[in-house]
Amino acid sequence: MKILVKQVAKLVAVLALCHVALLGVSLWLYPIQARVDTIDHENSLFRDQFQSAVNLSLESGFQDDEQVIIVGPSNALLGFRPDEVERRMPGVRVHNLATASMRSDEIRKLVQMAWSIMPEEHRPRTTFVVSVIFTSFPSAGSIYMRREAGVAHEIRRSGSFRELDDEIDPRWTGLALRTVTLLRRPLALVDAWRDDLARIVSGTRNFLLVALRNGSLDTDLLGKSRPPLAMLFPRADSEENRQMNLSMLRYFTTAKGTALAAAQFEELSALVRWAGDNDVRLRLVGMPVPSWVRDGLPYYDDYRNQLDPILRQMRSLPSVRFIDLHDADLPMWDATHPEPARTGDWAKALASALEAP
Amino acid sequence: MYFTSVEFFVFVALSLLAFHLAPSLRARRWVLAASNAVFMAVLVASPTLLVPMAVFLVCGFVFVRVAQARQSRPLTVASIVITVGAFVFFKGYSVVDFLPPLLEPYSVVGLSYVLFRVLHLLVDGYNGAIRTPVPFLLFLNYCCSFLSWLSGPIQRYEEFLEQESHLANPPMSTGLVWDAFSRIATGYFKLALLSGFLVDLHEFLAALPLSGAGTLRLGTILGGAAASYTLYMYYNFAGYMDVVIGLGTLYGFRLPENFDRPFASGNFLEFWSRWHITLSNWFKFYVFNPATKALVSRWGTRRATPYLGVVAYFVTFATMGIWHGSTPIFFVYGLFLGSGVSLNKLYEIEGRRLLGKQAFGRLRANGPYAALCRGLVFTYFATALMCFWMTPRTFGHVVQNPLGAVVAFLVAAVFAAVILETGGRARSASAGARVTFQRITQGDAARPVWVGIKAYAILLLILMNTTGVPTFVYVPF
Repeated sequence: MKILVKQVAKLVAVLALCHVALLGVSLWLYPIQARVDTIDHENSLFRDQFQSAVNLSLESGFQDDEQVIIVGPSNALLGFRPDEVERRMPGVRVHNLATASMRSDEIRKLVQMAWSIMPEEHRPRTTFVVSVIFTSFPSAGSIYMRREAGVAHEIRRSGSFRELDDEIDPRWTGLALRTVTLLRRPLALVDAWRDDLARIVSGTRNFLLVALRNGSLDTDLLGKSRPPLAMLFPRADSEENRQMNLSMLRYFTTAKGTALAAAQFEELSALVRWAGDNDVRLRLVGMPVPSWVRDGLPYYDDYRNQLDPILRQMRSLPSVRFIDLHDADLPMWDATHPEPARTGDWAKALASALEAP
Repeated sequence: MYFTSVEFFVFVALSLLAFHLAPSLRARRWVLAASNAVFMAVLVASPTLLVPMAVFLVCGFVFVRVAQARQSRPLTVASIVITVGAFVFFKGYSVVDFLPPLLEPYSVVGLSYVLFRVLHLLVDGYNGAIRTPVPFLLFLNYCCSFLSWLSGPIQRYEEFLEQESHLANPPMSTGLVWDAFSRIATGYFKLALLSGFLVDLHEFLAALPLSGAGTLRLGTILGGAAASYTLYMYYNFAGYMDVVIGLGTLYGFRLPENFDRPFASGNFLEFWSRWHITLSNWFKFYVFNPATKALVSRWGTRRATPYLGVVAYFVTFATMGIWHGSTPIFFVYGLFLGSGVSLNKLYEIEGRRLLGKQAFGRLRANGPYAALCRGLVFTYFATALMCFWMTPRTFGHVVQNPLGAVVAFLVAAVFAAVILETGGRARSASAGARVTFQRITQGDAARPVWVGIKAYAILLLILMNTTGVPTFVYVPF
């Protein structure tokens, strides 16, 4: 008995030491930060954007007082840089949880997750900014809809939630939740190393980050295309490139036909309803869309038609507001994304709209 | 309560604690009995599903005691017939389809291995090999040990009794404990990770379309699917064995080994002395030996006796194959196994007769020949296992292209031979490095560190595995 207990104790001690060592490595490589910004962690511990959006949210628990949490697809990720928005909104902490090609259902889940893990006293001082653009409502045949991974997948993987009737409830709250997330860090670190290996073997790279860093895009990369694809769109500086933008958008958002997914609009509607019911400060931002895109896409009218009832629904909800930047004259790189060198203009437009009465 | 579940670890921890805290042999027997009962009850959805199992066990115990007390041949034969008949009925073999089924649902998990143990006790109790009357508690602990209830290993009762009698003071040393920890960790690596990867690969290959496929495509897909399924079976089962043998050590049991590098076998007969060893031994004792004896006593002559062995092999392995399942496909599997082993035996007899004993021995020792034989053994076994996963549609594709199937089989055999030979050579070449590594990691201080790191790495990989842990493949058998 004594021998067995002694050896079990030794084994447990070694297991614990291994875990502490790996935890230390992960904290040394990627220290916990007050601000959550998906893009900062693109090539770090929580390897891809869905993972970073979920895991970093859990880890931070959104501890700052007055805060703005941005959720949406890549145009929100690239356009609303937290430091640029914070400069224009003194005293406000800005978190950006946006993820390339995020769908409406994923947006809803991420907003609800962020809300559910937040300390209750911070909720009244929190504003969610959700970017609204036609790409978030892809039809069933499009490449976005066929994507396997997603926010829900990452939330499930985090092991910190229960799923009941499509609702995600945290198993723990506050310090316990953050402790569990921290303890799971070594798992994420090894996961990231595995992903690295897979990327080296498969030869794929993250084009979003490449595009953002270089400020230039190479259409040759299209041959290796896989989500996130958004920033692979060629710069819309010629008629030929604009046509290529449009044909790519058609393929990625609807594949065939001219209608977007009604189910995805229902997700947005559900998010609005939920925000109204729970008194959640929610700002839907109609993201900039150049006129050549509005006129050139066969499903743009469908998008506006399906969005209208949701906007009407919002009028009776005091905590929810629509910020219309659809027609704003902001510097664009392509059909939907900001000019990398001019994201400050986008931040300014958002900050002004948020501060407007 | 699956082997990789948290519940199982908690169950084992509590069971071990209770076992080692128990003050006497008698108390430890009861702890084991309680552990077995809890494991069985939790594994099946409801304890009431085990009623037929309980009836089977009680009747089996009575038969064993009668066989020991009376040593009556007619009574023992009748007991064996009733026991096997009950097994066939409970398992729902298609040969008893004419009988009305039981109305209430029930579980037959573990029944096959209980049958083997009961028959062993019956036969050996009758012929006097087991002299002391089997106590009921020991009978239950022997037949239903949670370590081997599901799928073996099938320990002989004499061996169990000898180890069991020392449980008050079980052999326990620091080295043994670390051996057990290391073995359990390795088992989980095989069971939860390696076999999971292989079954995913198999399912991917098996789902590929075969319509209009040429010989090359057909052979590649089916060969890949068959090989991955075979390796999945091996790692799944061998991993489970590592776990239960390791756990057994912590209780003071030395469970028999069930695998010994089966794919290094030079022929199909040798293969069965390396794969599921305890099952093969059981069939050797209770089917092959009596069948050979009966055949030789009836038709045995100097010339005919070796060929009667061929027939006995066929009967033994066909029975073993058919035992695996209650549907007709297992009959085909049985014929496959029986044919493979008996043809192998026939080839040996004829080889020795035509070439002479020494020349045949030299041929078997020849490198390329031996490698090709290993490849053939693997490929034949993988082909036999196709019975378990091949759909009628896939079978239709094979039938449409019989020449292609034969060519694919032979190419696969050569391919397997090359891979197995390369693996064998790599193993030999790395022997020195492995000895050095063992010397470094086996020291008193280094052992806990090495085993701990290994266990942690495996645990981490299991937790990271989002595709889920595969179920233990042998449970339905």
